[in-house]
Amino acid sequence: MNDSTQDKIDKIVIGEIDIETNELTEKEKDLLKDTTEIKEALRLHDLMQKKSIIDKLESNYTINEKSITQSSRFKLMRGLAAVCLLLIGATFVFNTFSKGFNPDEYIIHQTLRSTDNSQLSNDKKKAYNLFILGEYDRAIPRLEKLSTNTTDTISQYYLALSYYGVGQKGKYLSAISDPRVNHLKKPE
Amino acid sequence: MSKNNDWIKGVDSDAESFFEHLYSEYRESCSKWLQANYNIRPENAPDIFQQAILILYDNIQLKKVQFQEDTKVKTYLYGIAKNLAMSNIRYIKKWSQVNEPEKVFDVILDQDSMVQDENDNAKSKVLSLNKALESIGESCKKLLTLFYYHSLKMNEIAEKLNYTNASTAKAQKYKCIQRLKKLVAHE
Repeated sequence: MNDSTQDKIDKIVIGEIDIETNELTEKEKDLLKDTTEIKEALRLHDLMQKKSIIDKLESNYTINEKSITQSSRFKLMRGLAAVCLLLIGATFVFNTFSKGFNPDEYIIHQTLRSTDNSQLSNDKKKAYNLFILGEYDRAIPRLEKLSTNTTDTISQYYLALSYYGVGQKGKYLSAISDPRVNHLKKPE
Repeated sequence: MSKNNDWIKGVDSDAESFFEHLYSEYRESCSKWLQANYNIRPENAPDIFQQAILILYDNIQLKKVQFQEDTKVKTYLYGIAKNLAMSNIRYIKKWSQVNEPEKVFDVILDQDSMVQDENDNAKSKVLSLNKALESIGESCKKLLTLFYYHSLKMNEIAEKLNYTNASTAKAQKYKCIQRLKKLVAHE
């Protein structure tokens, strides 16, 4: 086997060139098989190493989660209250409208409905998922349509928050003052 | 949410920070999202998340995906998690306790592996090679991984691993492959 054969096979394996296997000689086919197996073994080896990093992170995450819920709940609540006060104060000083807005804190549809997801129409599922993913521009037209149903609280709420997410302050204030949702949690 | 994607660019040099970022940004929200949308039990949602971020890493290495901003990462990651959640067979419960390369092969590699064989020989060959990698030495392992999996050019590898030039790195790559084949043959 010469260098140029190995170079050619390497280029196929790393995706630099695309050649049909029937264009290869029998020797090249064997070499391709061997080299592909080496690549997959290296891939597996690397993934096993990365998995151990993830395992450590998960273990630390679980330990932190437990210690927060078990021993520091009171301290955490006190800390959160202090942070909230600071944030409220800061909003008077800085115009931070919609910066760092995280939709996860405002998801209400899993708590307002039963665990049976089939109760949500496909339109609603799509619109809500776009909202959760932070794709407000795509969520807004769907939510505007859904919220015309005057009994649909969730869509109206997510619509208001999506306006907030894209920084449309006027539309946000108008949508959040709707009687269906004006009692729900608002981003400060 | 930050639009800065430097943490993705650093995936090769600092994988730990890459995974730490994913954990701090998405571990909680993705697990909640899976529970809310796909009836995943609270104890299984983290298993899916862990497998999803490993698949995300793999897809970046294989150049199946490239990101311009964080929001796209979230969409892509949640898409992987959704696929795993919807195929109950594919994700493995209690993933943190899985240590066998064979199981990782089944979840991550098997779906789109380039290895194709009429019988199961290819899989066992990959597993043998994987075992032999433990013995070829760190520098060989790094060199081969950078070339075949991370798709770096020889001159980039030479610079990264302090070889004189690309030709030296290439010659070393040949020696490493021969060493690996020898180890498998003597197994």
